[in-house]
Amino acid sequence: MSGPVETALSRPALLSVLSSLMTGRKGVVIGVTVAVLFAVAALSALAPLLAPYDPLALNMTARLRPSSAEHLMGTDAYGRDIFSRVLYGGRISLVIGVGATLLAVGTGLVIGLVSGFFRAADAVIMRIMDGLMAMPAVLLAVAIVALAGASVGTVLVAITIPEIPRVARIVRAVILSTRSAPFVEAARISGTRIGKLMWRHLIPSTVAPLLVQGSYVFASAILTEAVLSFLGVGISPDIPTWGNIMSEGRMFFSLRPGMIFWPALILSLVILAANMLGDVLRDHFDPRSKTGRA
Amino acid sequence: MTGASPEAPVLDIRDLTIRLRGRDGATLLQDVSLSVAAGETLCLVGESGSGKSLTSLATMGLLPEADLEIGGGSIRLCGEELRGASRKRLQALRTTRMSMIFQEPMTALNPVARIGDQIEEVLLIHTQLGTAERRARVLDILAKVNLPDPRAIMRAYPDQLSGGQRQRVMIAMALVLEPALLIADEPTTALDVTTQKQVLDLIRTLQKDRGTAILFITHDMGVVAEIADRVAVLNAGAMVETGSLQGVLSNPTRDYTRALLKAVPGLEPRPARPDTSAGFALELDGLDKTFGRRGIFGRGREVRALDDISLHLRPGRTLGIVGESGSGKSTLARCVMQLEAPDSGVIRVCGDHVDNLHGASLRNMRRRIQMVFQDPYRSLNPRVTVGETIAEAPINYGMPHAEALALARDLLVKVGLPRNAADRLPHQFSGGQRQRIAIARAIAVEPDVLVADEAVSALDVSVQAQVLDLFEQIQAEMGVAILFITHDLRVAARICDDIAVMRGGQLVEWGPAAAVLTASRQDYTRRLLAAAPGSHWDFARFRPFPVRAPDMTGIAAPGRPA
Repeated sequence: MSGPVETALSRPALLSVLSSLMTGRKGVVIGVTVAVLFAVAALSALAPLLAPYDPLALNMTARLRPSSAEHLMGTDAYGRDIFSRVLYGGRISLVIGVGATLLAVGTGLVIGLVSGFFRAADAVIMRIMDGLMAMPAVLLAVAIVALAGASVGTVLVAITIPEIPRVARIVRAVILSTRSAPFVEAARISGTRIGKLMWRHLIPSTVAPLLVQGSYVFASAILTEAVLSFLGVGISPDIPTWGNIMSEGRMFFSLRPGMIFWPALILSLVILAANMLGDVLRDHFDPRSKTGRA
Repeated sequence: MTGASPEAPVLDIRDLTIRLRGRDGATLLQDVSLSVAAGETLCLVGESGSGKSLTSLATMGLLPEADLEIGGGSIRLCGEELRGASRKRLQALRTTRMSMIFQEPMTALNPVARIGDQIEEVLLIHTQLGTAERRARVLDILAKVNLPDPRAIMRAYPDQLSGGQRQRVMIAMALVLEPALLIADEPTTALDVTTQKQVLDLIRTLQKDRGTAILFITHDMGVVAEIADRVAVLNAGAMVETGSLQGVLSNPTRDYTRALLKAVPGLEPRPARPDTSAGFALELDGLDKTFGRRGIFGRGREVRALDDISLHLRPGRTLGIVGESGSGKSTLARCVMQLEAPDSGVIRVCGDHVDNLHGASLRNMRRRIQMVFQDPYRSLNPRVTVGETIAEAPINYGMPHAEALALARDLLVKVGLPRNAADRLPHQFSGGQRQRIAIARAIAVEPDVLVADEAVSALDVSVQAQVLDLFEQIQAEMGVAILFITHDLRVAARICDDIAVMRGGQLVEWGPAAAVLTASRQDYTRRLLAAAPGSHWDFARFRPFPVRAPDMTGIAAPGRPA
């Protein structure tokens, strides 16, 4: 395997890490998972071109049709084409997934930095984070959506907030162990101001764990969005999302299981791919989990 | 004693070759031969990477087989060939016929098992003894390694013991089955000198009683002079020279051995430089620092790290702070650097107060005191190029980026590295080179005071000598005052004009190096000197010191404060 983590993420070294990730069994896993995620992203992005029907167009003459050449995944109770709706639903899921990941990682990074660096702030911030972590993510999200009203924006925020504490804790742990490292003390002695100190000497060591955690946040956010939609407290039911499609399919499950099966299959594939990618990244960056080495 | 006849060596290694696995596997050890007889101690000496630990691991059958393979030669223990022996056989031989003690006893002991149980486990696996007999054997061996109150030690966990006690436990565990061969891999390197002396004495006494053959691995020539019967010198995986202790130390035949011995600093103090300057570069007045630890139930435990320390240092001179671990010498350095705030007391640099500063004034002070850290592998940011690292401080104090980088290149030349080193990352350099980079960084802002905290302790002896030379050269050119913190009296004698001895946060003694090292009136200082291994031998001149000056008869028993 390649060298230790500490030498891994300097800018010139980033490429060599990527290339070392691409070899062996890890390379296969990474290739497959990234391919799945890219395929789903491309299908969703190109939905207007690929979708055979308008996902919102009602067609009362073609209700609850089974899979056929005309309707690949059948139609729903209003005669809308499920394949088109699944394609469009992917856009919401991916926007939520990417958006929640960026928001959670960004906010968590700032909170973790402040908490890890300023001892006085640490006690207060971490108790708030503990409180947030004590609440189940879905319950918290339901409460926030109920308070603020359902829209893509509020759902995004509602999904992001429960993810922040974990990110913040990870960053804080890295900062706590790095800030007493001799090279950080040497920089302080050199008169380095706090902003530059963080940017140059502290933040780089958080990149690897954040990459790993980010992939988990991505999977978790997509799942939470689907759950919220399924429960009917997420994005409004007239917008196609995987959760909404499944929610509507619930009543016709014995008649047309495809309404739940197809979105669920793609949802599972995306989450599985994101989690496996996270596991491979974690194994790569965590020297303790390397096999065959003391 | 085991079955070997008295003439046959206990351990006999012939032409041992160890290679990295793979097609173009590099040879790490080439045709090394050595033998150790019963009751004899062979010291295997060499710098890091010389292959001394590989030799011992191969003997114990502990080579990491995924990466390394034995390419040739034989290893015989009491006449039995170990190369190619089954895992099961090696397992049976370990601790019964050969055993090993390591540098860091904390990592070699199981932290969640009681000491007594850990030693008993050895007996449980390798003998048929009953419970009561096993207990008796454990008590007996713990008493033999001079541990106080063996019954209490049996019930203790490793973290409740001191470093020296843990190493005694390791020795007890290694010797409980009376093996014919003991391999000791740097067993005293992590210990303070006084503890080191006790452990070395113990190993020698036990060896005398039992006739154990000892393969003693060390990088420290002082320890060699204390304990060896014979010496084998390794360099870059090849045997350089082997012979009796007296022969190798007083009449080394090979250039490498001569260079190695010459690099060992003597305990003779250097001639002090003339005291020309009127002012002080650094003044410490009545520094106090207490670390408090409050227990869960409010039972506070306080450690007095600094107790009324007053010292001063003139420009262009070097003040050594020596002491054992826990003496407060590193806290002193951190307080001077404002990495810790002293509870009370005053620190002045060239007459200006530097304590209790914040914001801009703290930043301005920092360019006047710089520091070189102990571990060159952790004191440089692995992700930042060497040039940017050195240029960081000048840029912080307003120098344009290009100018600072040019300065960094000049400084690299000054510390003996090529100019293009600036473009590389720290991991491309050796420990000694990294320490040169750290020195270049420290002098980039032309400080008045340079604090060196154990700055050469992590380096091999020949590299150590070069880095010490560099400190002197820099000092001569810049007139910087150096506060040199070290546990090593040889290093202190080599570089310091004045020496301050610390113990338990207090200043035991402070004076010119010559006075402290040769005519100290303090018991503690004299005990430290007496404990320094090989203090009777002048390595660099290949002869014993003519007369050991201090009179050792009046020295108090260890443990009593001076």
